[in-house]
Amino acid sequence: MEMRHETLEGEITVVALCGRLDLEGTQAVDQKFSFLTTSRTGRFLIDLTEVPYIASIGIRMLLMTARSQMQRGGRIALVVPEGMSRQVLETAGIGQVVPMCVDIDSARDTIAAG
Amino acid sequence: MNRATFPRAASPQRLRIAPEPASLRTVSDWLHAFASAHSLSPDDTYRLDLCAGELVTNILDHSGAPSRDHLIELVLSQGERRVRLEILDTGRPFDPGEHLATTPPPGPDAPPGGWGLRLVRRFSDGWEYERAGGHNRTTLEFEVAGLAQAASRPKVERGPDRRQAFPESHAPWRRADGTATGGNERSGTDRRAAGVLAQFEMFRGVPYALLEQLLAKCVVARFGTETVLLRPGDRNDAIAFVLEGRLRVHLGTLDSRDHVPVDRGRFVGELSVIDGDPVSAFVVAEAGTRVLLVDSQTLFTRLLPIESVNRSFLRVLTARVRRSSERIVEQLRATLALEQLQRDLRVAHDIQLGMLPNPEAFFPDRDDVDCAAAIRIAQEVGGDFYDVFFLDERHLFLTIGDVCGKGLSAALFMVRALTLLRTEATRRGGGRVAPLARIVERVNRQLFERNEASLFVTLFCAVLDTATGRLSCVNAGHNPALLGAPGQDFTPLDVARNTVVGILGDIGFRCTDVQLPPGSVLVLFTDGVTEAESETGEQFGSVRLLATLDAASGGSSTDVVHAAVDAVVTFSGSAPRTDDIAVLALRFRGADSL
Repeated sequence: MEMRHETLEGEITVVALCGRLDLEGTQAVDQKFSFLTTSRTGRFLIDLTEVPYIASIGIRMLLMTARSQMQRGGRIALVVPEGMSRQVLETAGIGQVVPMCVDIDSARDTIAAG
Repeated sequence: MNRATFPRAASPQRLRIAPEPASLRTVSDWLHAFASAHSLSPDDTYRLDLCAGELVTNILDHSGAPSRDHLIELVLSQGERRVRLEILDTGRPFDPGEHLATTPPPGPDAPPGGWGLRLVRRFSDGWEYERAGGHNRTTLEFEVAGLAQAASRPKVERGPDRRQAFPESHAPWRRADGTATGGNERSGTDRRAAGVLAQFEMFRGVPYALLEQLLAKCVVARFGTETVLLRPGDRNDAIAFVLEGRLRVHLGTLDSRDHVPVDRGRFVGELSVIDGDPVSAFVVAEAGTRVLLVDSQTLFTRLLPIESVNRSFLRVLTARVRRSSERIVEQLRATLALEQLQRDLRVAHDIQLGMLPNPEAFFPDRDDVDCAAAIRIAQEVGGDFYDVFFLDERHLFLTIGDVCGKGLSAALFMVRALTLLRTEATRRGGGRVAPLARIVERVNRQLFERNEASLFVTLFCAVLDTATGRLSCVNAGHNPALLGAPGQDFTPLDVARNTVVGILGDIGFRCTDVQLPPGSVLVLFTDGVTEAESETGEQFGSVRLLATLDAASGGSSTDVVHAAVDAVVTFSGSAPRTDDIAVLALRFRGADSL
């Protein structure tokens, strides 16, 4: 499980996760990810394009970040291409909390608007 | 005969794993190997992987302390366009269906858990659980696009079928799309239905010839697409035996997922046939299902007089009555458990509020400080807190905090945070008050340890030296404190920002010192105040808060606190309150007033 991050124009931080968000993968990245995405209020794009699998533990990690940002007025969006992972996230109702976009560009537009 | 269920001869594949997190990858690799060998689609592979992963994770979570005797075994078998996965374990009894039924659904505001079993329900095509011989056995079924080795059935030429004596009594059936089936859709293969039926429990022991003679008069209906056979209120005059495929009985609405499957060899419709009353549930035939319809006349005059059939029929009925009684008892038990839980929550609410100092009785014997606080908890138990107490004659400690999340886990975390703050703040190093930054660092380190749920708390802590008016502050991810100096408007205190408490272990916290002029008022609050929403979704915001405080700054601390809380409550109107609110005010009258 790997995690990369970069800052785009407009102070948007893109955090790209790469690998399976199963128990092992989530545990490997959870601390780092939570610190990066919850220790300050800001605009975050979580890129899940290279996450081939997501289990409930991964959903939980994303939800914690989303909730913490939104409680403090931050903005967050997920980049999830069409496919099973998107269906899994939809089943968990993530879409009601965070916008889910199919690519980085539309996610950037979503997060920059408003 | 086309078999939709699993022939025992299918080669099962087994995997035995230790009950430890590392086994999850083993399970996943094993499933991927199976999927690859059977040309399963990536989506079907994902579903298998996801459901197996969630169930095994559940076993790890719920099986109690790890022991050498605890084993988990997975068995895969495949049928035509179907995969069955059995998961056995020797841990404590754990029925995932029951667990799901008694766990509140997760949502944006609920504790972040409970998704796993819901994912299994959504991404499998049915599960069954049984506890037998000291094992939990959960069986998952998947309808898959691969495994397409099933050749089409050889077409049997059908001539005039003299045995179709009363085909008009049941057809046509309505399909889900509103069209109707034709008449009797009996195929050549169905002539062998009696041979299949002879294996069914109800007809065990009945001579084949007699069965054929009896059943020749009945209709076989085949449903190419998903079809609604019965709706609540319909009249029904036939028992439907499933020859192939599956019926589903939906007790609530048609789209409810809480349905009872009726598989091959089992039947539905007996209650309305017996008492003649309207049907009480939806019965849906899945695509490709074939049923044999036994009308009431045939049932009562031909089948039930046969003693062995009669016994079997009564046995099936009795088993259903027993099961439904058990279900009622289970529901009753769950209701009672829920009531107990609600009582416990009310007690927890009282205990939690009881932990906070009584805001009406802060330091009545001190003339140099005037302090007041108020808290409103949105649910039974909350995550906001405040505290204020003297460390010695001279130093006053005050804090306000907000635990991320709500509900019981947040409440328990709040209790830990508050207790640690009290312990660390009052700890003496060489008889002196510890520096505030050290206090917060120690609290942070201890909250970070054993914080499996990754909860955290935002904190504003301060120590006022009442002799000098010097205020040391640490702000850990919390809203800024507001200061109203005499004759001036309230403004946010400029204090160094630190990260939230509980998320990272070994970090330092920066402390900022400010001077409180005599007569000034310090106000601490949680974000529930500024983020309270009106009925139109507008937030209360810091501008309204500052204006409210400015207007009230001439009064006592109690007046200031009540003005803030009242303004938020009035602003919210009937909008649902989703977050706790807490406010603490301190007026420093100055050392001279001692």
